[in-house]
Amino acid sequence: MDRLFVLKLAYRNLLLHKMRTILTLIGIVIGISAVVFLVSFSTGIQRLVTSQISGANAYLLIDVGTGDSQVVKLNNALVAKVKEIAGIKQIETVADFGGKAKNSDKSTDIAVFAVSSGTYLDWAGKKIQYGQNLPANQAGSPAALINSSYATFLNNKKPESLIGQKETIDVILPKELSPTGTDQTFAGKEFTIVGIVKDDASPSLYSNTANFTYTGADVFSQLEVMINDRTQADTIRKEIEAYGLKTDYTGDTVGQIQQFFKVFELVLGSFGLIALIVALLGMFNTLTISLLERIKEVALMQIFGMSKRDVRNLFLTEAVFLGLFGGIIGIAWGMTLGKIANTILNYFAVRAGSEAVSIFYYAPWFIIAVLAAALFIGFVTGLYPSNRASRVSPLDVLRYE
Amino acid sequence: MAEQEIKHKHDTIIEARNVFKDFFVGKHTINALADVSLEVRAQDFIVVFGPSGCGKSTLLNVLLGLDQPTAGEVIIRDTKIYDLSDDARAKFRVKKIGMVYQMSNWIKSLNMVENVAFPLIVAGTKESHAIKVAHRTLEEIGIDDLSKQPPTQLSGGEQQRAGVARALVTNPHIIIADEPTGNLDSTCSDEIMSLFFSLNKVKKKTIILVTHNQSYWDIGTERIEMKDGRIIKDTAHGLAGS
Repeated sequence: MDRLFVLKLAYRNLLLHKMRTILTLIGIVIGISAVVFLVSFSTGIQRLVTSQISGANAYLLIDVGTGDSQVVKLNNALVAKVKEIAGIKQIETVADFGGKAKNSDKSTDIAVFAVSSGTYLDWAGKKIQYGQNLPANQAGSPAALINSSYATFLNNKKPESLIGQKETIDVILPKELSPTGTDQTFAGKEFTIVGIVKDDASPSLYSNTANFTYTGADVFSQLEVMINDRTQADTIRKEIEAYGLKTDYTGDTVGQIQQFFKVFELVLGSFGLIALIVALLGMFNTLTISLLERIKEVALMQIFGMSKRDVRNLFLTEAVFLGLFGGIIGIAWGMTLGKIANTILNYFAVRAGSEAVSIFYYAPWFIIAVLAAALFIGFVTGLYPSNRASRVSPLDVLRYE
Repeated sequence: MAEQEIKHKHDTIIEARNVFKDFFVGKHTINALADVSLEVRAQDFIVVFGPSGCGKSTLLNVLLGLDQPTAGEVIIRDTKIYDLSDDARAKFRVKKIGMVYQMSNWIKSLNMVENVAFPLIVAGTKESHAIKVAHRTLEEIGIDDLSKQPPTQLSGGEQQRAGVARALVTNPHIIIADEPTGNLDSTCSDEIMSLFFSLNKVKKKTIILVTHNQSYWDIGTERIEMKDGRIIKDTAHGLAGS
């Protein structure tokens, strides 16, 4: 039998009782959209939290510091020893200074970071919003990156106009980094702003370590160590800690967060699943009633030569169509609800001074899996009615007439 | 005393040999057909009649391949139809036999021309070609202007005409009709019976038709009277049996 005709007949049968089909679809749409909404919410929150904590290199970066030790000094000699540990690809250093910035009659405290290169910012996941990263070589006024908080302080309306401008700040060397053991202020230090990073934490400025030699600082606050292979993280950490240093591995935190969110996803997904099971039962009911109403038609089709297999395929096709349409509309509706919820949330977030974020994430594999599940649900729901239809005896129907 | 004559002809296309059909209801056995033998030749128009419960419809169902006899054989165009599987027999039936029932049942999601084309589509023809053939058939019957209507919205006579068109769409040699005028008024009934007459005389179709209506008993080439599951009179060419 013409397969396209079976598809057409299945589609027409669904259209014959529009209200019944629509109500059945609504049930499936509610179930599917609930699963999509809740799971994508969980995934979105997870991504948001993870990205706030770490950049793309979370599993390859180790933070190294001195912790509370007053004895261990993170100086060039120690850095050189750490560099020799097998499995380490690259090390970036950072020294945390303080600072004061002025804008007309306003002043603010700023964090000043002396970094070994712009690579430190890349590893830290800082996104350049305007301009460019720190140059490797420079001439003239030292180049600096500022964050969006600092940029807003300097020019609330058009921060991008700050690129290329010179900015004078006071640099404060904290006693922990000072060779004299006391805080020291270096006033009127000029920088040229070459870029602005997206970061709404307290106002910050980043510049190459070479631009702070006047401070006499000979120790670093922290190292960022990139390793070649995440499986070596524990070994390398132990070797670093053997020098009296403290290490932090974001990979541990990210792993714990992901464990938590796996459970969170399961719980939310289960709620959605409950709605889907209810919809499934409704669909089963609809298909069974549809069969009982069409017993004569089924008998007629068999009398006119339709094989039992074609009868079964017809009813299965109707069930799969319901699953398919319900799946597509349910996914679209779940994503729409997510967009609406995200928009509302961001409206209030921005009004409160925070930046807009996306708390829903629709992983492509997840959407495909949901669609496949919807098709599968349609198929499974249709098994009983379709088998029952194929067992209709045309003769029993004729005799009853 | 019941008698039956069996005529052996060279152009026999349907043959029932010593067919028995029993139904079992609890402890009781109902002999719906008892030793029925029948030969149908090409272009015969056989009218079957008898009181209610005499086995007419059972005989038709057995000849159609819908109801396996308890004993005996049915041979249609040299094929022992009950040696075929259910699906093969269904395919055989739709290609060789056109069926018309008292109540025309329709596939409600299809319009009239699609319903008429249905047996052809089931037989393996592409839908577009089957629809063309269905239109031609409806034109011959004289109701092609109603082809886009849902069949259930047509009058009884129009539905029965459409039922005849559906029976003809696969161009079968044989048409089997069970009380095709049972639900129609006399005018419509006469029109339908004229149609069958024309199909036999002009289109050379072989027809087996069951009817209660005595006024149609002599319309065919042969008349078979049944009683209590047996053929009690079987006349050929208008000659009465004894």
